[in-house]
Amino acid sequence: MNSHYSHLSFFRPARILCFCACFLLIPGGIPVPASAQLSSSARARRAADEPDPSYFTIARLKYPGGGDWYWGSSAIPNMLDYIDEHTNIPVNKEQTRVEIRSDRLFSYPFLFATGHGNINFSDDDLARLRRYLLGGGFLFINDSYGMDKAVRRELGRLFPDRPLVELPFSHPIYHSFYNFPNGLPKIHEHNNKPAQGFAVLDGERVMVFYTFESDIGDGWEDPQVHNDPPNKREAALKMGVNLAAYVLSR
Amino acid sequence: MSPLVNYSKILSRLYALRRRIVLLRLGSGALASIAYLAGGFLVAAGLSMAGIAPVGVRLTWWLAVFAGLIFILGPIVWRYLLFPPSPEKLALLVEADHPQLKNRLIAALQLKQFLTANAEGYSTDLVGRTVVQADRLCGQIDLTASADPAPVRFWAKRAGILILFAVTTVFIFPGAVNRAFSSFSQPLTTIDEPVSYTLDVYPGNADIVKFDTLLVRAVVRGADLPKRIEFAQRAEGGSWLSENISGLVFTSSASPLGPDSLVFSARIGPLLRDVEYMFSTDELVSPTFTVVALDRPRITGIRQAYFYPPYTGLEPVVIDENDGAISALTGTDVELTVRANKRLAAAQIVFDDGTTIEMDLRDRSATGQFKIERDASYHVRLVDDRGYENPHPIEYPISRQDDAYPRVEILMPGHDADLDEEMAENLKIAAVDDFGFDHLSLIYRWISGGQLREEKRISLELPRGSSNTVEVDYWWDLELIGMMPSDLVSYHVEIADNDRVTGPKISISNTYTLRLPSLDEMIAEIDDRQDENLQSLEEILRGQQKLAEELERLHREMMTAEDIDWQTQKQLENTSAEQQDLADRFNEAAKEFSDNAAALQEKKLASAEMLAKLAEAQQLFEEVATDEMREAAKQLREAMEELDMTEMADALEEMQLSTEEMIKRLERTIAYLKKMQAEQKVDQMIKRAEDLLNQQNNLNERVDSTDENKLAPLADREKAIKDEFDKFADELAALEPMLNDARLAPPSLNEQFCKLGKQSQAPQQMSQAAQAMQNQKKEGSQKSGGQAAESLKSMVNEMRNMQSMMNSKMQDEVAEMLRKALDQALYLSEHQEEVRELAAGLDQQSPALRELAEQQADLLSGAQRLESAIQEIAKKSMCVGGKAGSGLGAVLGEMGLAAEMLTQQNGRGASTPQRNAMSGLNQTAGLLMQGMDKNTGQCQNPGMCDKPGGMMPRMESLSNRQGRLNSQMAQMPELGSGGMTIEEKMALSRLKGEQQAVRKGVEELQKEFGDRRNVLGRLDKLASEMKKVIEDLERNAPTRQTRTRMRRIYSRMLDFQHSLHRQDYKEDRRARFGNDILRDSPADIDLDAVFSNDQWSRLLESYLDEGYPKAYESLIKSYYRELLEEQRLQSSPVK
Repeated sequence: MNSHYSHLSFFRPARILCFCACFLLIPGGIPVPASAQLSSSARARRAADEPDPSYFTIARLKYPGGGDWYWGSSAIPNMLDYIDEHTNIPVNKEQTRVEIRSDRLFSYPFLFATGHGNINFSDDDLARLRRYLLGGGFLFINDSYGMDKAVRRELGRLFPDRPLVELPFSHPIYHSFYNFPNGLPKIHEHNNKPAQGFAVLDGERVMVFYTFESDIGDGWEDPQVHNDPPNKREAALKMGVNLAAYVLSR
Repeated sequence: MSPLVNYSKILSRLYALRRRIVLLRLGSGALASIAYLAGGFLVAAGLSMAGIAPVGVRLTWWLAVFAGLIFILGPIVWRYLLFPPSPEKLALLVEADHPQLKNRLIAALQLKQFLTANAEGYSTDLVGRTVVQADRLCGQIDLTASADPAPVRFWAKRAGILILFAVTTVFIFPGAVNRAFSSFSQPLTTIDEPVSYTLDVYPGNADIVKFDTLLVRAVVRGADLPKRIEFAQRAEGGSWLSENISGLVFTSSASPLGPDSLVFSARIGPLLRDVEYMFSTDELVSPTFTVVALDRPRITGIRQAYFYPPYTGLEPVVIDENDGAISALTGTDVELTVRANKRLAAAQIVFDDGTTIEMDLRDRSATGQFKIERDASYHVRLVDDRGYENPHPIEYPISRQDDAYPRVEILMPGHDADLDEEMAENLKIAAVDDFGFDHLSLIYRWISGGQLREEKRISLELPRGSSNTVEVDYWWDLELIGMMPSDLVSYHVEIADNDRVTGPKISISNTYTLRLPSLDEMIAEIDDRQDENLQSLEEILRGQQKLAEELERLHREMMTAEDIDWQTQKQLENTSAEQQDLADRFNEAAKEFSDNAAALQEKKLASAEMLAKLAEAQQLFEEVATDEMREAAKQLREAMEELDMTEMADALEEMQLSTEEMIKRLERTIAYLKKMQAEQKVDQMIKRAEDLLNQQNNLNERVDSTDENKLAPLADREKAIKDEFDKFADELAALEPMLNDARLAPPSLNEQFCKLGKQSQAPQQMSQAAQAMQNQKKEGSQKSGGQAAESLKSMVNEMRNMQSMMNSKMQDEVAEMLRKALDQALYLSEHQEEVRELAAGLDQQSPALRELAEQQADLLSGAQRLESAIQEIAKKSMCVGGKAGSGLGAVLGEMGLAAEMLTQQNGRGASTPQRNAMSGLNQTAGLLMQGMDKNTGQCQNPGMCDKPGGMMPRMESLSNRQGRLNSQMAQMPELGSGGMTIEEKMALSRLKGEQQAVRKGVEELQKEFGDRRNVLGRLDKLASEMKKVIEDLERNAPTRQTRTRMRRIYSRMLDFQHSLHRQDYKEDRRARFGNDILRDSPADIDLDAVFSNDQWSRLLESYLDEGYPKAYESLIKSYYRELLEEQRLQSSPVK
């Protein structure tokens, strides 16, 4: 049955490119002038607003169900800025929204879903999202409070026989770039519960990473939005870099 | 002079004579020899007349010839050569011819000796005188004449005669002469008698092409010809093969071969390799001849190079597959190169119509070019330097491929759509062609009032360097068209490919329409959907009520029955299925509600407060289907599977309770939705009134800017607004019963609100304005139109005020209910505490306990009334959440338990439930107090709500301005598309001013609401982005990037609006930074345990993607669950 999915490994070239870039160009690696990292064709693509597979970006998932998928408009730009400033991963900073039914869904290796409300995928959405994830895609769901019930329900529908498992602190996702020995950092307080990182796995690969009671997404936002202390924002952004590095290295 | 000198002279004269004599002798010897040899020749010919002379004869002949030459010539030549005559002899010869010398010459020769040695004593003078005299006499005569030439003449005659004979013999007897020559030239060789015939072979050595045959012939001529002849042949490297063949006689003298000849024929081949052959008879053997097998020219390789037409942009393609079949685009130049097995003398491409193309030769290859213009076929004709052609050349097809038609689709919206307030549509167009495009156009027709307007065309820019697939995004601003509500635009796109050979091919997309719906239509649509939604909920409620009765009946039966019969079991199954069905329907209704709320938000048909209420209602939906109910249904299913009566009864009871709870919540939800629907209706009516006001204002502006004599067409528009107003007024009037039912406000206020439309003077003023426009009276039109606008404005303000009053009344009513409920909760809590303290201090046998039990029962009744009161509040407002109701449910249970214990004289035992009840009451009181706070401040963020001057309307206004700005910008030419006209520069200047105004507005918002950190986000970045746009505009250099930036700004502004609408649905959502909570790491993931069933999971997922019907999908799921379970059991260690 593997062949059934084999044609879906659409992220491989992008990953290889970005992964190589990530480990060759990270600070301490081979220094490359920023201008040298952009080929003219890449600039042209960027200008044409097309997803360039050689540039890493995070697409905001516009999920159905009534939840505020648009929450935190400054989160993704800040996260991409941080990646750009602290690594030499080539980054496309254009804000991108994508719906599951969009043709361009499969052009983005990293989807970000956040908010507080309900999620309700149609059967077609589920089939398409399943195809995306099993084909190598990555979905990061950030519960900004109030999503937990909907997330667990929809993930259960998405992968009825794949449990949502909590990742141990030793998991590579906590060590792929920065070291988080105690697992997921807790950014925001809602119910006085520990931050937890759950995952739906495909083999050893994390397809869906779901953060509960952590609210990394809020931590990516502008400092004045939540008035978070700098160390909290820093932790959230670093964890975001880890996610990017993890996605690009798998 | 000395006599010796004279003597010398004499001698020299004599020697001259001697030389002449010798010469004559040599000449006569030569002639004698010739004569002798001619005679010998005649003898040899004579001897050969009869045949070959024997060796002895020939040898003798030779000896005789030699001997003759020696002996015959000796006396003639050799004697004089070897022994030349002495002077004395010569002198005698001369004396004999010249007697006048009188021996003086002899004497001089003999006496000369005495001149030098005169031993005898002769007179030297005399001797001298004799010598002198002899000399003198010799000088007077020619001594050489004494040499006799007669032998020369003699032998010359004879030699001539013999030569004449010899020549005659040659001519007369050539065979004899020939034989004589051949035989006498080899005197020692025994020579057989010659054969009587000759053998000639034709064609001798020859070359023929492989697989051909060659006829070879042997011709014998002469006498005694052989009847059969042997023919032998040998392939290269093989052995000789021979055969006897018969000949054909030619006896006629007219035969080309002459008479008396035979021809023998044999055929060699088909020839694969070189062959040697020969003929032989008993007497003769022909030489060996060789027939060389030659190859015909043939094609050993063929290569095509396609040079596609330049417009395709395709690189040349070389096809080196040894296949001559050609298939290429029309207009393609084909270069055909063939390789042959040998050097070529000529090559041609021969087409099926007989036309040919000469190919250029280069050693063994040939190249030719032609252009593909039709379907055809061809073959290649090769000729080698011997003139051989390639046999049976293959006929190759030429297939002409036509440039395909392009395909174009409108991906977005990809269906008929309604325009929103932006009056713009983002089109996404995708086109595919095999070789690229020439141009893309958007073609549309505006249909207004049923009239089809002229077709218009907008040229769309294709991406630079576009290949055979393009995607074009086009922001189509329809505002400038001037569409009115209910108008529509029918549109499609047209694309032409870049075929320069046969001309561009044009394709068009599907035709779609964009319609500008009227506000009435949008509202009606949402209303219908909400009505349907509400009806669905009411049906579900009825279903739940019926189900609750059924559950109660079944529960009673279960309690009394000893065993479960088949019929009851079936009823239970049906009940469970019905419950599941109701739950599914409820989920669908919840989703429908969510969609409706989204539609309201998207179409901006609801205020911010209304949106907040909708969000709260969504929460109600989530609370309806409780976890307890799901758990009870699950328990019932499990109990049914195990046929456990007790568990079934318990599960039924649980399910009954949870169903009742669900009914309560459903009732509350429906009531709240009805109230909200009424509020929404009020909202919508105000919105419609505002829309009418806007329409009237727009019309008034058009009247102001229209010439008086052109006003008549605007009358129809005024009438349309009036008709719309009348409809609005009717609907507003019809709203009264609904508002009264929902008890939004006192009936008098509702009545007043609903009559506002009918009381307005606007319709009369609109009629007057329409009449004035019809009569082309501008002043009258302006006056009446202005009055109508004023009346509408006044009506809108009144409606808003009344809405505010309604809200205020409702708020007051809820506040009163809350206050009463709070008082009651506090009263119950206080008395519960008293009863508990009293009961705790009493002995178990105390009769006072019974009295306290009665008091506890009273408290229970009070709590039930409180529960009803909270239920009523919840139907009117969301300020009291579901927690209060469910918490009170627990209080009732605890109070009931406490009352029971007190009745049983168990005062201490009652203490715990009493304490729990007290705690529950306190919590309820707390929730009610929070509810009061919420009720008094429904909008948690004053200033941000949609009150005039609030953040939301201001941001909305700024967004709209930015949207309009972007639309205008889209009409401006891009930098680089030519110089700007003065008008365009002025327009840019206006846009710059507008952008500066928007930026200023954003900055003011930032200053004013800077502390609202949770909503402002990146307003500062928004302003800086605007600054960059302004800089571009100042430089008169708007680029594509400028437009992109402006779109981004607009998009971000809309995001802020969303975010403002959605602010603070829940207090819990408020984000406070959190501290890390240290804990142990979760256990490592046992991948084997989690993924042992990975294979099955993938299979299942793949099947789920196939789109099977629901029922079948469930079957698949259950099948795989069984498989997984089986696998799990198999992999478990056996204990």
